[in-house]
Amino acid sequence: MPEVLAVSSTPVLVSVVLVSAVTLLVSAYGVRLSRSTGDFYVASRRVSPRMNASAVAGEYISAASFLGVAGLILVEGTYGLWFPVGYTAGFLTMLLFVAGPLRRSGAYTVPDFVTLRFASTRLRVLTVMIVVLTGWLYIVPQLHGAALALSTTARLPDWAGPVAVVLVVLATVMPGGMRSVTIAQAVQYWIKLCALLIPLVFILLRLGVLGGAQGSGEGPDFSAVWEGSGLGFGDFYRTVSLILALMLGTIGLPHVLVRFYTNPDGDAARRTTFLLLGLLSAFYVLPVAFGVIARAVLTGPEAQVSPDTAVLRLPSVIFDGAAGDLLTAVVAGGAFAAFLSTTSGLVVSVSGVLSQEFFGGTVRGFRIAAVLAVALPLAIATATSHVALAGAVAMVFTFTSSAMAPLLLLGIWWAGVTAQGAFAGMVTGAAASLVSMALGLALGEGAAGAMFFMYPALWCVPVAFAAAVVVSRLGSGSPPADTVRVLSRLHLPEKR
Amino acid sequence: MSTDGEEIGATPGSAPRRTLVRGPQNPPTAEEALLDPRQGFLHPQEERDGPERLDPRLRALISVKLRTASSIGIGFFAVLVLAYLGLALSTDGGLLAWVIPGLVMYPLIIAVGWFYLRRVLSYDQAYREERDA
Repeated sequence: MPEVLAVSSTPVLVSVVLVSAVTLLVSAYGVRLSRSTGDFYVASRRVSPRMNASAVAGEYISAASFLGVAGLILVEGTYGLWFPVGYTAGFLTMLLFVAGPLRRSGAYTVPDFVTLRFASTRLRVLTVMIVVLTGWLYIVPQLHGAALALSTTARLPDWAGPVAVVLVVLATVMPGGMRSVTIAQAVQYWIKLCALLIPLVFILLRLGVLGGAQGSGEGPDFSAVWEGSGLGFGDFYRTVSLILALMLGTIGLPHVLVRFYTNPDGDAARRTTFLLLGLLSAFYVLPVAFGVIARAVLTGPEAQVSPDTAVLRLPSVIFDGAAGDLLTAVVAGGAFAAFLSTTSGLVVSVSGVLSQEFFGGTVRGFRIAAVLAVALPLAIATATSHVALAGAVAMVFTFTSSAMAPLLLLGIWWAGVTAQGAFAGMVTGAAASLVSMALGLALGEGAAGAMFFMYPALWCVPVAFAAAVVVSRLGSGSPPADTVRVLSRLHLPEKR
Repeated sequence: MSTDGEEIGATPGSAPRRTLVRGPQNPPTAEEALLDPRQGFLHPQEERDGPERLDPRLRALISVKLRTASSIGIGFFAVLVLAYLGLALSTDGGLLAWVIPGLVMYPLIIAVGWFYLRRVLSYDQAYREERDA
């Protein structure tokens, strides 16, 4: 059970209700614009790069980014800094290899792309399973984050946060699908940015870093943060494996991929991705700054207790009374926006896939699938205890980098890949990463060799690629008959 | 893509009739799902009658894009690994170990992305000009 903060819960609850109300109002505006199945699934492919970049950033900045990064820096120091670098560099990979061609495929969902490229029912079913599993695995940490944030700041029971997130997300997603979610997520990016930026400015002024008058008592000693905190070779394997997982795992996240289908064309998808690099860079400086300040300020034994609450704790540690209450409420509201936006993106992507597969792609099917998409994660989140947010999300990235990245990269860029090869790569990557991480968790972080299993991307990804290439080259299958036509579609520039 | 609706306020001989739109009730067709009307060069009929081999100009375009993307992607990953190793080897790496991953990497990622975007757009433009010539 995390430590409950000594702040008034009323401002926090007001802030959370306000964020929920803004989300619902903006979504209702989107519902008025939503008129067709195309609106539901891909916002009629008319989302501009600026709007879509904000929406993708809003969706991508999850509990792990908003709360987890600072907590990781507090506990692990410089190792935590590589997480946001990897998160941002993931979109560089997206820009380089995936965004333009994927949009030109014209697909609604990742399984649609697989059908177009490989014309294999077996591979499509496997892709559906991987997409749904990824979505469920990613929703659980968001709901854990909601439980943590609301129990810590507003003294609500652990189930209240996840239930609140699920209710608001369903109210957002079910009426208007992708059209309403797009606008809501774009707004939520800016809410999250302001929710960290405003408290950070006040904190830096209070600490005298920005030249403001320093409060009573001595300020923290930042030099103690830098000294003796250089990088070690012991973390080399873990860090490099993590960076690879984040750089390749991003291109396998279904809720991120589905957003690129909403752009008008491939060029717009590329421009969206480039703008994203700027938006993410602007955001990630903030949790990094919070992490550094937390490391300087939270020096007692309480630093090791639930580090994911460091961002929520800092305002009340630095400011007394109403100022601390208000700034905590601002941060809590931003955190709630993070849970909402990521969960709604995941629900849209999982619902789209489930609806296409099992409910004929109807709007009614989409709504039923939306309930199914959150039901299991809600049950898991309320039944299990909180784990480190950044670590849990990194595992999902490891899984997608091993299972999805070979399929997408080879499918987009190599004419020689066969359906059997893609299937082999996907199964190998998924099985190797899941078994390895389960083994690592069973061994425990302190056990000898545990790091090799807990951070397996460095060997799982090459093994998955090798399986796909070897089976494509040596297997009995041949590339699909329309490979040339599909690759032409993926890579031909749009007419001007 | 069809929508179901019901006519309201219709009287015999009057036109046009108002229709209450309830939203789509049918799934999108495969054509709707997989074909985008903005795809300029390929159409369903063309695809059925299309070539069995990649057009050499298109093959060259794909190759140059893949070479550029691979060089940048692998190069950037190598830069990250080397930066880590350099910081680990440095005896005075305390502050730098915070500043480089905490601040310096982000402008670098944006610069690399901008460089690639300019290159790939120029490749596409050159392809269009060559094709239209």
